[in-house]
Amino acid sequence: MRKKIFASTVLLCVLTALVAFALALWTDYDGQRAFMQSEIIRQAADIKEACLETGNSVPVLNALSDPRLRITLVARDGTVLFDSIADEALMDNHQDRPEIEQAFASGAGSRTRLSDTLGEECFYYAQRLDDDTVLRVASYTSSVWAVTRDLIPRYVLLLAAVCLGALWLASRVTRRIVKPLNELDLEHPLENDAYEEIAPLLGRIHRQNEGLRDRMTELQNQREHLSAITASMAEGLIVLDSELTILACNQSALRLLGREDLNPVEQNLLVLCREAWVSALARRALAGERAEQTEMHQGRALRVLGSPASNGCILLISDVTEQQESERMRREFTANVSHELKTPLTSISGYAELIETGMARPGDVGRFAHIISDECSRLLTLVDDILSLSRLDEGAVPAQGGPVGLLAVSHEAVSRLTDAAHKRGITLSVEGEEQIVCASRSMLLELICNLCDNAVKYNRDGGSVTVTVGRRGGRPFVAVRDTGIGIPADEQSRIFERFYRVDKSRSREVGGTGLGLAIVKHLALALGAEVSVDSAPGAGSTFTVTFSAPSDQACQPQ
Amino acid sequence: MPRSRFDHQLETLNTELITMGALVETTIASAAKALMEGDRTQAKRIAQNDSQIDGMEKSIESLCLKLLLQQQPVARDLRLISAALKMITDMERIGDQATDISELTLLLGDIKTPTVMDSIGDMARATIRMVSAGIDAFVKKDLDLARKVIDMDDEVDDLFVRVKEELIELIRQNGPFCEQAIDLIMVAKYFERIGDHSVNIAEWVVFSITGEHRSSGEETV
Repeated sequence: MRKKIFASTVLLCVLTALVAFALALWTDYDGQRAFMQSEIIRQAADIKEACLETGNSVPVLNALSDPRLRITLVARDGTVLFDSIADEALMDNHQDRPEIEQAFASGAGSRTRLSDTLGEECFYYAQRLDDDTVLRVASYTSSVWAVTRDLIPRYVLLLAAVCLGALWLASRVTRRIVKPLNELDLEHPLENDAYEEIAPLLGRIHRQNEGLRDRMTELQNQREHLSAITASMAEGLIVLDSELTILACNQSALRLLGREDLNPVEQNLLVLCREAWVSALARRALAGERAEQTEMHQGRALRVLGSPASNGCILLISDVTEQQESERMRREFTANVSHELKTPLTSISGYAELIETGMARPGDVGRFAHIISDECSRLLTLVDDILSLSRLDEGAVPAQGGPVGLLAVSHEAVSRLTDAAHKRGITLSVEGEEQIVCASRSMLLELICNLCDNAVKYNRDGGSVTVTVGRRGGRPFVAVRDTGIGIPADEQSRIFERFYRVDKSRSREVGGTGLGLAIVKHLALALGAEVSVDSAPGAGSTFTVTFSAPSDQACQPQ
Repeated sequence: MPRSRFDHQLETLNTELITMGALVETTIASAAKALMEGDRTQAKRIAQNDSQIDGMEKSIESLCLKLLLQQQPVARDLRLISAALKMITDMERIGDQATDISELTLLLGDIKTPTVMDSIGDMARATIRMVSAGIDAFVKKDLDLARKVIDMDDEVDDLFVRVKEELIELIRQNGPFCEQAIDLIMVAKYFERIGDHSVNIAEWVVFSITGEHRSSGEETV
């Protein structure tokens, strides 16, 4: 564009200058010629004047010796009487010369024509004198051209100067025209103060910019949403291409595979995870098959789901360790419940059958009925325990309650067990100071009852159970200490599991359901308390329930 | 185009090496597990893994030679390829030793002494950690981790001395374990050798990154 504008401007300037100079030259030439002709006419008049004064023409003409002029005197018959340049004797008759004919006819004549005598183009002016001769004054037209020709070098110099000027000017003009275009701010097209001819273009650029910006923001938002989703999801997500190169991968995937220090994008899947089954699964997904597999990886159970995607596949990794664990526990629980329910039922049905078929001796019937009733009550306890556990599992029990005195509840719990304890000669005692906690009274009572019940059941005959209420580190606690069989250290972590029994035969004998401590754990959880156990085999056990420190907020009474 | 083909081949070499490393890792881990748990079926399965490892060694070796001949690599690429050639030998040896351990597992039978087995278990765990870390160092091109593997060998050596002393004590007591003690000392020696091979792998990882190899002194490529 710049080049084109420059070239056009220069061409235009030079052409204009050339035409102007040609015109000037032409005008100049014309002027010179007219001037020469009028000069010749004036001189012819002067000579005529001089000839009139002297009467005789020839001597006057002889005296005039201007080399630029040719003066000829022609008689009426055409004979040349005088010529200032050529020899008049050798000249032919001049009567037929048009200017002379004209002069004889009308007194004066002029003509520009080729001279027969000199062979050059001349301007002739003829005038009839009073003595009936014609005086002709002529001048070479070439002399006019010569004058003009002298001017040409000057014109050429001027033209060169003009051309140079044109070049300089053109480059400046070009720069000035192009400058606003170069300085256009395309980021903010409407703020430009450039030519109005490009305003539509700028407007269009502006609209397109807006469109682009909107599109970009939209894309950016989408991207942010997507990365926010992938970053916050607990499952690991890996996007692979057809060569198992990782295209994208979220933080959870790195965490689950134990490679948080790695940036695996653009690397092979093997860099992230060397497990052969993961690669095999990814290959199956690449082949277009939806594959799923659960395996142990670094001590965690990982379930990897591979699904085919366009030109690759997606792996979704989730940690199912806890899920598997809870499944295992549920399975165990079901098996245990069935077993526990079946045991009393077997003896009930056995004894009932004996009575029914009459195989039992009449003396034994009473004893059998007693056994049946015992087993029934055990079943009832078991079902009650299971029900309260499942209530706790569902979280249906309201954890909120009013202010409850721990000491008072402990007294109540102990009083319920007096009979059972008395039978085996176990001493029950409650000591300590009253502590007020914010809890549901019924749940608290159930918790302490369960602990005391256990303490009695697993005690030796003639032992003791001591319930201590107090405050430790600002937190209220209830501790139930017994003098029983104790629990080995390696089993202490498992006693809160459902149906777990340290000493299986003894437990059944004392009529435990195996759910007591599981209920205690759940109740404590619901009450926001912690249960701990301190025990050694043969040295008795101490279960301590520590409540959270009472808050300043007044506890609403029930 | 030939360059990008070369890059692609290098990438293949890299993944093949990692795959072989992973296979070696699993093999040694399951060999150790079979030994500790006396699982005879698992011990028998290890021989299959070993032949797979041997196959991979051959294919990687021919890939390396092909790359060296056809592409005439220089600098970093040359180091990677020559390190790969050395590393596969060490990996293959680890595979062999894992097989040897599982063969001994089959011979050992059930009577084992708990204290010595504990020490051998420690050795197994330490060497597996070394193998994993060595392959990890190669995967991540992690110089620090590779150097850590080289230092970890001292731990395995100390454990070997401990196992040896415990076995000597056992033999001195002239109990029923004398025969087993001989097999166990070989198991321990195999673990100790696996540790050494891991150090070799780590050294070649260091070489492929820096161009310096411990055994070559000041010489560099």
